[in-house]
Amino acid sequence: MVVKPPYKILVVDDEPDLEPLMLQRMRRNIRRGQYNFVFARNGVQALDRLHQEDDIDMVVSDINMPEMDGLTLLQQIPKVDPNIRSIIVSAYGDMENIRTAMNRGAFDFVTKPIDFRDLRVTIDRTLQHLMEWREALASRDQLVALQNELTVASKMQQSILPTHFPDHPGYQLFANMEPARSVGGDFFDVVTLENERIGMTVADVSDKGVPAALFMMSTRTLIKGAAIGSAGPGDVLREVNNLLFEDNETEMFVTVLYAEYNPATGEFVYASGGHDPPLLVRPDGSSTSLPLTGGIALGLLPDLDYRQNSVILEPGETIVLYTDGVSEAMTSDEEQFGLERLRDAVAADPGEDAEAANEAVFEAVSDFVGDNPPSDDITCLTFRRTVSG
Amino acid sequence: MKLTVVNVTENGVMVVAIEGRVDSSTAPKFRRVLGGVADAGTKGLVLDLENLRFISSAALGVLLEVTKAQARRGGMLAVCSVPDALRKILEISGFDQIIPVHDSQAEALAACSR
Repeated sequence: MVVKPPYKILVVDDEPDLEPLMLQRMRRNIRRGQYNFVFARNGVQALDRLHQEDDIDMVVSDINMPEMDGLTLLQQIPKVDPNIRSIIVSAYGDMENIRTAMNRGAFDFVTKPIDFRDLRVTIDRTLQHLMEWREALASRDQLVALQNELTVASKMQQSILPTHFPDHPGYQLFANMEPARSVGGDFFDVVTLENERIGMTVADVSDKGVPAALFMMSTRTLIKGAAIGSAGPGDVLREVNNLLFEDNETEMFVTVLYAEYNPATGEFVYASGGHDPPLLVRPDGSSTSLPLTGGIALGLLPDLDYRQNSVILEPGETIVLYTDGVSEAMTSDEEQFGLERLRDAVAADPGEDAEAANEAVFEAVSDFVGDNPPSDDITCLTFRRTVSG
Repeated sequence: MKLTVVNVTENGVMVVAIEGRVDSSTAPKFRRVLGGVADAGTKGLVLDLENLRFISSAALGVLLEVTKAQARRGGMLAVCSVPDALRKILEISGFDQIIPVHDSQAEALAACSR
């Protein structure tokens, strides 16, 4: 292991009240020896600290500050140490600054007012990424260039996946991604929205390697940013498509299924950018593919509109989101797993537990392909409105 | 993966048949060959996909790249005789809204000659 806890986190904010608040809210993590906080009041002070203390792992910075703002600070950090990761604290729904921050190398962001639980999850994910990144760097010399590139890319891919899922009486959610040996660009994400709503993404980037992994990371972050404060999934895909298109010099693209669920009403709204439609599974095991919304994969053409569709989930009903790694999983005779086998797999599901239902899909695929190695990543997300929800 | 030029019409439309699998290992070659054909100034390019068994998403990216390059030069690209499974992929990904899809070579040739 290259980095060991406690991780040293530099918090940059001109608001003097943040320091005692952060120490108070993060006291358990500090006591357990996970985090160690140091503070600065603006970008200039932050840079001074970074120069003096070479053991700072991560920066959490506000944007608007006197003397030097957070966006300028972001540009300066790699000059001190390119392996420091940054999280930006931005105003709710401020896509312009969030986007600038991501372009300048921020790893993630949280919004104000700070939800400390969200901040903790974001810090942990960033640290996880940092750890894997440093391991990849450390082992770089032992590997040939291509292998290393794929290793780094696959670690980047793994590091953006959520490792725990929201706990809510009204619904259950579980997702998993099994990477192919060398190819693939799948990811999934879950984002908590206002009024207990929840957003979920399953996506597949068209290429492999480090550029594709970077494309994947920006897609994930742009979706998260657009989802907060958006008018719905169609709107989110339209915005993300335009942002991806602007910076896309290759013909890379990403197919995305993005959906939002409102536990108060049971409404499930989704939009597709070139992705397979959701599968709706009823408690009796019968299932149906929801209608395609007809959107094109993201990053290819500007100014496209994305339609969205909505269904009301009844208690006990389940939505399965998946990538083509599931439906196109192949035996050595090139027979594909297909939608019918997926429907059989979800029909056999044991009931209340989304995690078990999700695992059942992976088992069915694995039983089907036998020892034929997967040629593409396999991703499946299971979302269920609980019987009492 | 095998690419064969099966026809060049009098008005300069080229028909290329693609057979087998275009996956991540053959996609770079696919890009070179198809890009080369398009760069040579072919006004219309028809890809007959009847015997194409598999196409990876990276290879679909190549198709889009060439479609756009053709449009910039005032030419076009169309595909024809698309197997059902592949047609489904084009439909789900929304690519059938970017790449013209025709049932037969004759139909595609007519569209490219207009």
